[in-house]
Amino acid sequence: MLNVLTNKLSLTLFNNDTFKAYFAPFSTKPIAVLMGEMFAATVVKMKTENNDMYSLTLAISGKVNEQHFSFQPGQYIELQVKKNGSYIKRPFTISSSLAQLQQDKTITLTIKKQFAGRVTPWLSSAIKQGEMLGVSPAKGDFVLNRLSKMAVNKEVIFIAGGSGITPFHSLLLSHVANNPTINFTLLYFARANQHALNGSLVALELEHNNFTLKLLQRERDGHCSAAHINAVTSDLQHSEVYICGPNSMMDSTRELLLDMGLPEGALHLEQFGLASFRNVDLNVVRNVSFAITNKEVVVDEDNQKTLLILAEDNVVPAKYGCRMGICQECKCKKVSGVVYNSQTKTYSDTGEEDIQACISVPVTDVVINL
Amino acid sequence: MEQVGSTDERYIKKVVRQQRSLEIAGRICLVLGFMSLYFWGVGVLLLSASKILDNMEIGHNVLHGQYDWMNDPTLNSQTFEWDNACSSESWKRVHNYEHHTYTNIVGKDRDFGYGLLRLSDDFSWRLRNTWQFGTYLVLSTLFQWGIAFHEMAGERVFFGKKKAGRTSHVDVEQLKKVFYSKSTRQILKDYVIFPLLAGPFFVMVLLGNLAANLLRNFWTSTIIFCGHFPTEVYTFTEKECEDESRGHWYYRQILGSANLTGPKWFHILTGHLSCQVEHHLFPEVPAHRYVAMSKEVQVIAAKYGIAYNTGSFFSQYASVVQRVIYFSFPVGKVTGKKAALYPRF
Repeated sequence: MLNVLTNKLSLTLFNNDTFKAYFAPFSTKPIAVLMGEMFAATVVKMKTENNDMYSLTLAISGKVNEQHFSFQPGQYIELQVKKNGSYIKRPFTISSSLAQLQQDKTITLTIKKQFAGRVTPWLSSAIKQGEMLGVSPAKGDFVLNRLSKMAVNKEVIFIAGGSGITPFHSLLLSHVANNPTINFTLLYFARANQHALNGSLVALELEHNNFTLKLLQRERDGHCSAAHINAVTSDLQHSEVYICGPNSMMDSTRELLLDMGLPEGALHLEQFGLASFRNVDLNVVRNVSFAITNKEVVVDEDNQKTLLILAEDNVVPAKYGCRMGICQECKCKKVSGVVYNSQTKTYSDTGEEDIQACISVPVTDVVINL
Repeated sequence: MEQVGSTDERYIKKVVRQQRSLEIAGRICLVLGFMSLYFWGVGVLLLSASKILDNMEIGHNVLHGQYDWMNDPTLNSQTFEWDNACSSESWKRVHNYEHHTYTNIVGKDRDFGYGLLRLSDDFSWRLRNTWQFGTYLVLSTLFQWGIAFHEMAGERVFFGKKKAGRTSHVDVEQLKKVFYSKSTRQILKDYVIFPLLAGPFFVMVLLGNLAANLLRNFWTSTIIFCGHFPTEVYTFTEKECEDESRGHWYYRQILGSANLTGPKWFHILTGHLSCQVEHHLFPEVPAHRYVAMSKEVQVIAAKYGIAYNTGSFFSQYASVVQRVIYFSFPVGKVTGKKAALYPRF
């Protein structure tokens, strides 16, 4: 109530929604932290994991508890960084344990350098110790919330591919020791010598009898097969299986497991990371999701209509003005996906940003706030 | 746009800090006016400078989306609100869309003449044009209210009949609602709440705010007239711009605008609308880059023989006054030497 009143006063006196916003230019804090949307976090450590992965440890400012900042192993956060004057948000999985948060008030993110990515390759070299970044509340449902109800001696099988190891690292460090009656197995597929975080995984296996680690090499062991599964469990029907990795790997493994008799309810998948794009080909089928109107539109291969026209064709309310990229009336938030700006002839970033609907053509699947 | 980055972020943040500092200092000085009238005078100047920065270098440019790429909600065209009676939503529709898309197309860009003044021979003379220089002075005095009312006047919200075939983007009730809520807030702020906060110095603060608002109105009105209505700025007819190409659009933007020369502080206080030509060509480029860009634009204009209208503040203002007065007389079609002064495409 008091909040509403002060905000009303701030709007009247300073034309800013909050007094904080009025004084924001005087602060060097990340804008999302300043506006109370994110937690402040300071960079503590940067560690290279392998050629294309690195770990970033962040100290959370303020209290660490359910009311302030907390997470469930397997969840991700959104990180706000400032690059060349522009605030960018990207989701990253927490790879550290719950105990680490409780003891040191830190979380570790293990990040893969996305090919042609705007943030991940840059961040590893640009980040400085002591720098303040914004961290969102933890999100995502790739968690073991049914653990307490699980029968004794039940198998939990984790299947990771490449950088998909990150949520499992957090899940294993947090759950293995606390649940001695449950058997955990991790099948980790990666290229030779590219298994990230394997040092602590090997140590965990040595310490606990209820955890089995299988480091598999793509070149030598191939893709996940029935033989791999049968080697680690004799009772797949009563197992819970979690998969995280490249989309193609998740699709094929999911089919394999369902064929082997795993009930669909016991299968958990995490769509991971943002699709990277190289030579963008407009001749593909794309899904355009209008998040506010809750409408999904499939755009066929040779359709190069702008988002504004797609919205209008599908009775999605969209503001517009000049329809030629000048007036900014049609500007709206793209949540994810790549669009092509037909005026500047450039491709957008993959993450969240403002775009002009009247000159933007969807290139990949796009989610847009209309 | 490729070069846009940290430099622009630092620049706009610095201007916003300066604006906030000027506003706070100005409001304090106004209250201190009870000690000496000099304080009051300084307070008025500081506060009007703050309002000018807020409206011109910050507001106008942020509302064009020049800083949207920063992803900073406090400086984003979708959320920004300014210290002006006109709501930023309405401003974006009328200014960003109508004016910038249809620059100087008589009949489509309502900026040409604001309906109040006759500034070209595209309109036939009426009796009320006789005293239009007086009308112009009144408009300058009440400029922010003129802008706030601009869209409603076009939609004929309070009087007049709507033109047949005119499609509007917002309904009348919405327009009224936004107009009343924004203007109420602005009046409450300058003429009730801040004066009340000053306690016994209520009247002094109220008058100070009034003076600052008037100074801001005169300044913005003058700069905007200088950017659009000096002699030698072209007008266009709707017919000429049917199926216009992108190249022709750029051509029209150059011919339809006029620049002002001056020192750096002058450019900043005009919100770089002193570089009206560059602004019309590249409305989404951070405005503080226009001065540097203008050299290149002039070279290109010269290369293709396109008239590039620029001059000092005083010479451009004199020609604005000349235009306002010239068309207040029942001159018909402008011909001969005069036609070169008031060119039509």
